[in-house]
Amino acid sequence: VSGLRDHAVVVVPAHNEEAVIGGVVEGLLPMFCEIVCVDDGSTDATSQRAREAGARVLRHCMNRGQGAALQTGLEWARRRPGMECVVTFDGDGQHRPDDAAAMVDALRDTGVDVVLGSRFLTAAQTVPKGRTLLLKAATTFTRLTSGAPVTDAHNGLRVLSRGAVEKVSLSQDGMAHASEILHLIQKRQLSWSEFPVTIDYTEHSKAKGQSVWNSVNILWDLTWKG
Amino acid sequence: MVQVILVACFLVLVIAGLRSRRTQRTRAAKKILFIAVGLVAVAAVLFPGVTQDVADLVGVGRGTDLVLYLAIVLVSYAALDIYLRFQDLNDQVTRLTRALALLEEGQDDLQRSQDSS
Repeated sequence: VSGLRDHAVVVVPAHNEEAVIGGVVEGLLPMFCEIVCVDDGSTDATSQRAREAGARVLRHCMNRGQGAALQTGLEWARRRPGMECVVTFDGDGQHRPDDAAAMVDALRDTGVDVVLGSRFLTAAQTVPKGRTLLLKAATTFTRLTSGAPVTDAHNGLRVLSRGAVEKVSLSQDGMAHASEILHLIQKRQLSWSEFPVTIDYTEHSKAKGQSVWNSVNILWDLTWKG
Repeated sequence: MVQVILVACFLVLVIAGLRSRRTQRTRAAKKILFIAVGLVAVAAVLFPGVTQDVADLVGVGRGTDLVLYLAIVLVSYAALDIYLRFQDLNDQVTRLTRALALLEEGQDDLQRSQDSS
């Protein structure tokens, strides 16, 4: 285990993930010592499962959206004296703990402020059709509006250095936070790099994924609060 | 004539609504607008001929049409105002939820450290 990984806080936003959250936490534990699950007002046993698996749990008493959950995790991490970086890791099991660990190592080795996961940098990745088109459209939009030439705008796996965590505050409660983070990275002049990651498209994660319709909601949120 | 007035009213209200919410001045302005609309409404009921006179002045065929146009502008403004207030409230609820989540975790943490000592 690298030194930086010992001082990483893994923030796992989860909403009604009782079926998989335990496995997600257990997968992360061998590599990271501080796992914080933000239970975003789940109506099932997400909190209990996460706690049993060995995570700390921050519980939103009502559902506020993934962006709000991430921001809660970031604020908690900010108060940890020993925290040197934060990993954001979706609670539905679509990310791989190995990727997260490799990204923390990349942050340490390259010294950038933020490492962003991208599913489009690996040749092996098979993104379902339909998702590809939507994600490419979202990425093009984000490149144009935020000015950050990313290859994957809506990837929940990221590593932020302490400096970045202190400079980034999310006001987008919904899914528009993904664009907002990139916008803030540019605005605060943080250095960043992308890292190839694999998304595991299980039936579960696909069912929890966003529909095309949510892109309308995201655009709307971004215009009002941009 | 009436097009200019209606579009101007609409723009002024939208811009005023989007900018500087919750300042004392805008809150006072809203109350004055509210009272003015009420007075105009009462006047229009007591003196029905007045709406026709004003309609003739601004080039609208019937007084009732003028009332309808003004009502649409006011209702649109009210909808926008309520929407923005709702968004503010939403942000406040999120901050409250976050503060509570952090507070609870802090207490759990304290409990755990007391139990172990």
